[in-house]
Amino acid sequence: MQRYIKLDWFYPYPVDTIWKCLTDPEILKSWAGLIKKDFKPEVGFKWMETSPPRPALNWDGKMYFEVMEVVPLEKLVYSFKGGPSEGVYNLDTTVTWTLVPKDGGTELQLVHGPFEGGKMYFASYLMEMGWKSIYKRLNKVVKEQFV
Amino acid sequence: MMLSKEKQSINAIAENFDISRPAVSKHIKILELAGFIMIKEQGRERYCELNADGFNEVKEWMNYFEQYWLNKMKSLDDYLKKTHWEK
Repeated sequence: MQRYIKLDWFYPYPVDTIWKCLTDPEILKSWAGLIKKDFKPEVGFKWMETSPPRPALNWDGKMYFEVMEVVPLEKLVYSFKGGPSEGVYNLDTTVTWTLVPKDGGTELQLVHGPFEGGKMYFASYLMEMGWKSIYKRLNKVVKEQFV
Repeated sequence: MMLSKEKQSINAIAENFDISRPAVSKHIKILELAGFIMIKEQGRERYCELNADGFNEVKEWMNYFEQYWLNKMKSLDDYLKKTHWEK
């Protein structure tokens, strides 16, 4: 059960302008809030951003990014992970920006996902309850049923 | 994933597995008691439905990030207009 966020936004500017906005570290500081580290459009470049935590989603608000693919003027792909604490991820997704020249401007397409149902629920359930609790609970149920 | 948006009768589910019908029933009962699925009776059949709570989480994540990205794309739009880049 996988779902993706798909968004498009048309900018009446040429593709190289939009590409620059997505990859130039100084420009990213101005509109994308990427201020803690100078962005490098290179595979393997990592950075982190902080958002307010969302306990209901089992998320401490930290976003871990890593550049995975760079096709200049066409595509920028990075991984986007998050979870309840550092190193523990219940959100493991990919963000793909695609630039399409159109009508004298650029259509910027974003795909973010996959947002998986069962796995994520199970992962966050387990992390919330801890393995021990789940085992205890299932064990109790099994005993009641089969003894 | 056997269960999705539609509920499935236990008989229909059992058809997909190589274990006996009573064994399938036992597993389903365990899943129900653990809170992952709900069993409802309709006529002569019993139906399984996934417990919606876990999947609302997906919706919440997606709603949150959809807004997050829209804000970013709008921010880029505003930035370009403000700084008079050549069209």
